[in-house]
Amino acid sequence: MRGLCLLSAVFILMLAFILPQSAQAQSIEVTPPANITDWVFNPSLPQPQTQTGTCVINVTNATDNWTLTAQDLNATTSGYMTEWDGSSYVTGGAKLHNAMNISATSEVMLPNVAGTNIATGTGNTSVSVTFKQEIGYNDVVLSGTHVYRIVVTFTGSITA
Amino acid sequence: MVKLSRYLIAFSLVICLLLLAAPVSADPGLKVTGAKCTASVAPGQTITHRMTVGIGESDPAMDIFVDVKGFGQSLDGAYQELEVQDDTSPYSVREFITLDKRAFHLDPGESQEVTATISIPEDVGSGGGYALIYIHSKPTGEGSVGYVTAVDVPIALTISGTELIKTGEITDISVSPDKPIAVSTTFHNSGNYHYRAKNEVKLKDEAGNILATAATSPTSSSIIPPYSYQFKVSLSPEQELSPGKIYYIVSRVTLEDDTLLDTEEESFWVPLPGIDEASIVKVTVENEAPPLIDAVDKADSEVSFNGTGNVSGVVVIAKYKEEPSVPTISFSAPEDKGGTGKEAVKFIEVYVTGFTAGTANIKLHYTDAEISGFVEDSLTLSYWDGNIWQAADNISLDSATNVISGDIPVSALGGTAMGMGGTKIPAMKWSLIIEIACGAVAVILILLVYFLLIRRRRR
Repeated sequence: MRGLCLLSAVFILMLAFILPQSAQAQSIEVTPPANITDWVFNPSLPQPQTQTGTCVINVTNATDNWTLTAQDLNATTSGYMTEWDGSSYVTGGAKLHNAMNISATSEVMLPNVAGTNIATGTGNTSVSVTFKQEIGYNDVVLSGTHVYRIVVTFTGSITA
Repeated sequence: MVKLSRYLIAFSLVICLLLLAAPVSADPGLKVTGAKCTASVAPGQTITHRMTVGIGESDPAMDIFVDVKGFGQSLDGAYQELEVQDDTSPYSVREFITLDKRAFHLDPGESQEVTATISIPEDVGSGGGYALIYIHSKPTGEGSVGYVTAVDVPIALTISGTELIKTGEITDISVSPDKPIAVSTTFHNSGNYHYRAKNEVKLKDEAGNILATAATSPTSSSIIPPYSYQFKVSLSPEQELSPGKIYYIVSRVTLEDDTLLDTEEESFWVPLPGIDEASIVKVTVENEAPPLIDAVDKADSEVSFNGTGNVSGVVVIAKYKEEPSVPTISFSAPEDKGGTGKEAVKFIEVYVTGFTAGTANIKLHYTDAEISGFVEDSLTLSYWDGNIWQAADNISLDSATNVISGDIPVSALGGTAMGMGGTKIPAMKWSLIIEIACGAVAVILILLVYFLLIRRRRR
């Protein structure tokens, strides 16, 4: 009898957990891949050179559809990794000759101003993201602490 | 009994724990609650939409910015944040939305509530009202690749008491006849309200037989007016398509409940071997006298028709990269062997379907470089009639404009090549060259002897 009471209590707890989930406002949580701090480029390596990461999308409801885009919205870089002195882009600094590509379930070339999706899905998902950068012998080798840098905007949205 | 109860309790606890663990646990990023607003609102009414913006305990402190943007949409359904100058949609409610805060700082584990006040004017119009609330961080991360984390909150309002029009039209069908056959249908939401739609595509042959079908799921995001969406499907017919034949794509776009929005038919031609695919020009004629087809830019040709009457069908004009392989007799074979007895300059294909009578006048343009080494007056136009290379009727040559033209019965244009050829300027014979060389040497020797004799006399 005591067991049945406990069982009922457990189910009440379950209901108490589930009901607010379905009643609460829809939410989305976007976690970008881990930072790529030191990407070493070498034109003698197979091209394009790649780095991978995981973008996590969490949504409230398992049935929520979402979209994920990757863009470079900075007019200075506009899709091209650009010389960075550690605090800002170098005025008149070097730029790689090829724009960066980013792929998940589909591939886009930055800046991707049109905002084409790199992934769409339903419910909580970990999206594997690959950054692809072609390097050539005509790209300038940077000296000192200067690096090539780009800022990628990952935008998630629950669809209307 | 007590034991059973304990098992049941343990089982229930496990289920509870699993349910609690259901959301994917990961390093927390930018979290927005109230991430969609799909309210119904009357003209003149004001509503509010609350959003909670937060970051996780383990995240670095972050500066957050919130903006109201125009609601744009790309062909794959992705949302585009439009600036004021680009937000020209008649259904935009961007300018009717105000935010109680546009920038704030979040320390780890903190969240802030942002309220959007949406004041709909009386004269808002009918249908839907759209905008995006764009929430984004400052760039984070040092080194090679940094990030901005962002969330678009779609505002998709229904203007209550107004007519909601769900209409649309197919504006383009493009076909890639490779294997599998890739079909893209571009569909425009011409109504005043958003909806999800789906696409069904059928492949038919000239006789109307259905060779393959494919269908998409409903779009994962609604198509917002006045934007377009591009459906993509692949078709894999059981049998290979025949080169040189016309096939038809029937594309049908419906709402989720199968209500028809639009259907369109598009034909495509499967290139014959050796065809330069960049040169293909296809014209569809619907119950009319076929117009002059100017394919000079792509296929060096102009085609006009006589005596066809009003017809429905398709005309394809294309250029060959080399002598076509379909004819069993070489173009340059002697006339009594079914050839033309001429050297080929170039070949084109004119394919016609749906026409039963009349003639086609073909004007083939050529360049001086193409006929270099040919006797221009000898140029001729011939077509492969299935058995022999047949000279076109009424051939005329305009050497001033570099055009040769001729008439070919429409009945012969069911997948046959035609070629322009001519006679080569005869090459100089070696014996003649040797004779001229010997003569020149003899003259030089005579002159040399003559000058030597003159010099001796002077001494």
